Amino acid sequence: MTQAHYSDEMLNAFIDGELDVEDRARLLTAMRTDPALAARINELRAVRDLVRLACPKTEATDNITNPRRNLSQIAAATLLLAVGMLLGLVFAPQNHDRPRALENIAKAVNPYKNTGDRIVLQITTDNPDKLNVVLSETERLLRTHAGKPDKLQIAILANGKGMNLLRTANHDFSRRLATLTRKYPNLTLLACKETLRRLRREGVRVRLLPEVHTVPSALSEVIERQRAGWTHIQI
Amino acid sequence: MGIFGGLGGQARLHKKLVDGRERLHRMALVWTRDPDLAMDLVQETIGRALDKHGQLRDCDNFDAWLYRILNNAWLDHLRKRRDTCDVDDLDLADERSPERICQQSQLVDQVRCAIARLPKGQRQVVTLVDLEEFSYKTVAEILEIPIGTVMSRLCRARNALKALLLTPSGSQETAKVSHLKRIK
Repeated sequence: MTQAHYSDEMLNAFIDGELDVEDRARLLTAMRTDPALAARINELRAVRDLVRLACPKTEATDNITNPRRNLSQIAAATLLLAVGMLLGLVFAPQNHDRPRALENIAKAVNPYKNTGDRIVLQITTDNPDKLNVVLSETERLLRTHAGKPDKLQIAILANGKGMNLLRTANHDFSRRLATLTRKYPNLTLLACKETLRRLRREGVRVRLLPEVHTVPSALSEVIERQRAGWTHIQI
Repeated sequence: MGIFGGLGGQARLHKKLVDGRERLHRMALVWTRDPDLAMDLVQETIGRALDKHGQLRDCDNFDAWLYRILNNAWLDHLRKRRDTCDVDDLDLADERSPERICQQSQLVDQVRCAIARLPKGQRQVVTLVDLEEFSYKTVAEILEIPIGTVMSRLCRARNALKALLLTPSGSQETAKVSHLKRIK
């Protein structure tokens, strides 16, 4: 029997453990007498091993530790879709009612709450128009709740391209953000360390505003805050 | 009620999502080749998983269910961006050979480069089979394609990788492979 009898599909199925016992036994027997067939199989195995070698799991850069588990996560999660839809309204070009939109989101998210609104605004864009809207809306929300900081907490969390918002080099926004954080203690600025690390690897020098705190990973931060009942809005 | 119903169920779901996050991220990264997009997709996947966990009936299928959400999240993203690019065409017309791209890089980079050059469908199948060791049937379910398509894509993907990585002068041959277009 020559190796021509065995299609590549079959050999792949063999190395992936997808063949039934009978075919498997037949192929194993053939391999013993057909070195070329054995070589083809070994090559496929080598390819598979290379793929595995090249794609290890993402390095564990952070460990999520959460001492308290909060059940409001369920509510927050089920409302995410609604938030997403409303967010579409915020940035829809035809939407002329921008000033109220974000506040509407906050209201829509939890109309029956007796604790304050807690919103994590995850910024993943460096589009200045969007950033402008976000800052204006944030400022408006904070102003509306001025004097009662326990009623509203906002965290601006930047990762990816959004990191530009928090850089000192970005003069358009840095002064505004500095003023806002000074004026409103219920606003925090957070930067994703994973993004910072990546930028550093790429040779980008990042200087953040002094008001910015870092978190190990934007993703875990969002998950944890959602668990703690925060509303997550990604921009 | 789904398998993650109730208070304990919610904690279990959260733990499974946290445990699976890095693997999801690896897959998203190797599929999209874009760290920011990969993170967005993982987040979207976890969001949808939290939202839809009631639909999951069988704990054994959890991983497949999660990767299916990831795939759908990516497809949604691609659909939104259809005006800008078709991912299957990306890089294929690139005249740079993998050797040139990876001239000074190590084996790992070369493999990643080779995977990145595969058409999207092949890239997904080969990574799901090799990295997550899903059965062909599960991959078919995740990607919502026939099992025969899984097998043929896997076969093409591994042959292309073999040509790129195991053939000493692989670039000439693989240039041809890369320019083949999927008709299906």
